[in-house]
Amino acid sequence: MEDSVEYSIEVKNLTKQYGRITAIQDISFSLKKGEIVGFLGPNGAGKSTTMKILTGLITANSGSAYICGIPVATHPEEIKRKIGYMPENNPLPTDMRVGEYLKFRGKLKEMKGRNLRKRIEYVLELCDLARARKRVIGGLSKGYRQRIGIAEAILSEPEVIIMDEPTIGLDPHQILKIRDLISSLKGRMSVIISSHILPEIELTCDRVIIINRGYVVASGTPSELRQEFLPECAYHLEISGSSEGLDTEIKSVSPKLSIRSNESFPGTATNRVTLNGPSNREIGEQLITHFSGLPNFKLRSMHSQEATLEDIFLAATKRSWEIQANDPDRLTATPFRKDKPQPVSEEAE
Amino acid sequence: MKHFFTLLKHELRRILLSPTTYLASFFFLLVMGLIYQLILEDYNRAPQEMLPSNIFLNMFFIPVVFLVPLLTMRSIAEERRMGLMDSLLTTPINSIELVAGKFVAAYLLYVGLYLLTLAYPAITYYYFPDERVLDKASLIGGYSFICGSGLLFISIGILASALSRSQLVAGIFSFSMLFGLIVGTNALANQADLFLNDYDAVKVIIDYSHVLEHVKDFSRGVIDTRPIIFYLSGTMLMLSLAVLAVDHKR
Repeated sequence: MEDSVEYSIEVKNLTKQYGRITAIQDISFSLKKGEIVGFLGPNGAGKSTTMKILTGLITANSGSAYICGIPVATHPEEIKRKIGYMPENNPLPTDMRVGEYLKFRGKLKEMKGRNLRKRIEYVLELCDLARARKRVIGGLSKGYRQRIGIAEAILSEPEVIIMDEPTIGLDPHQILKIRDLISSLKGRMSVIISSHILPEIELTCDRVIIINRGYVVASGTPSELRQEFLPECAYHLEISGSSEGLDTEIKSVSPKLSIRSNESFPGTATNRVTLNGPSNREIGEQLITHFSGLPNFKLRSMHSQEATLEDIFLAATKRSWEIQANDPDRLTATPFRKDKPQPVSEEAE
Repeated sequence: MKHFFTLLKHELRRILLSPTTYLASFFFLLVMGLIYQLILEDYNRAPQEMLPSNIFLNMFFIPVVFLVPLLTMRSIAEERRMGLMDSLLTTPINSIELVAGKFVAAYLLYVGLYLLTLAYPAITYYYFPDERVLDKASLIGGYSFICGSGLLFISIGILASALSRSQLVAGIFSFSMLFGLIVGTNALANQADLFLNDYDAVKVIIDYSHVLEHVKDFSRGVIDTRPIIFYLSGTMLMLSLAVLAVDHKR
């Protein structure tokens, strides 16, 4: 039955209210098998609420959620056999040893004997915990604890892994390891990760879902989102020569280019110019060809920079705030259109 | 109940490895030993109407109102405060298994501690080999009362712990409920004796739940089934409420 199910996670029009506060409103998304999806949103956007609903910890007011085609609300026990969940802040019993804890959790997840021992060895090795196996969790650093949480989530080889901020509080080395670890799950397990560390999400995830104030405000691969929210690209140029007339020269390359900033260094006649323009390779070529033919300007260096996920995140959430401010009664989250591309400069600041 | 034994083993391991268990046991046995010694001193001064083990068991409620909250207040409240409850409930266990595991572990510790107090009459018997020190009827009756009533007392503590996130609130709540159940019913029974006739429904209910009367009967060696039904049904009620509380307060 499970093979015929296309989606590992399917969420349809999910709404959850805490008293008068609406945590999530009409959220819909889905995850294909083996897909890794980043779940982004500012604090209080409803990420943890959505994840808790997916694990069956809390129930939604309306809408439906399915894990491997099984409805969460009516079959909570069944879906718990299919998920590995790492909660926010990753609570762990401080009085247990790492190995004991994993054994206990494995037994609760209905693993037995040799299989359990083998899996414990495997996850200890994978998460670089083998040396800490006999140490008491209470005495371990944050990095160790996060890795224990991840080891526990993947212990029973669940079909779906839900991680609420798995990389929070880790140092760059550990983040790198966790990133490789999560990437290694690609294709085998479906993973949904909420995080604030956006470069991590961009590198590991196939797709990104951005929610804000309970609505899905953007969903797609990072490049799709870039096209939708910030199709412009920034060009950083270092040009020697007087800054006079520079503007006209740039406009003559392409009228779509505009100067975002121009820093001149007195005495050296060097300008550091940042341009906004459409994201295509030809513009770069045109700029180089144009400036190489000019006697009074010399192009010393140039590089282009596409919008980062951080810029997209800021643009998507900002746009949803603007729309909400204009229409406070808006209740449904319709996909946003490319009607109003926003300049990179405003978002990056 | 697939996961019950895993959870029970985990709880027992936790109890046995925790230094606080040994500290609590030490002070419990110290206080109980002191009470037993005071009883023996009374015998030294003047002849008494009741057997020493009889009087000793009648005093059981003094440690109960302190011991039970201390044993149980941590169980669910602490897990919830630390967020461990959420991560436990995302595994294929259900709240019945969870509550049952916590309850049985705390109950076994409770019964274990009381069974250790059997050492007092045993030590006394070693030095004063008198039949009356180790009166079988009173000891069997009394300790079966401890085991039976312990079910209800511990389940009250577990319910209190399930209702609150704070150990302190859980402790005070279970202390108040136990105090009400043991001392309150005694006060009510005394009042009922004065104002109500024996067949009045209110008096029947008060007598039915009069814990101090039950212990008197049992420690005399009279094993009555009515209190047993009372403790068992009360335990089921408290544990069901605790399961509902765990399910509801996520």
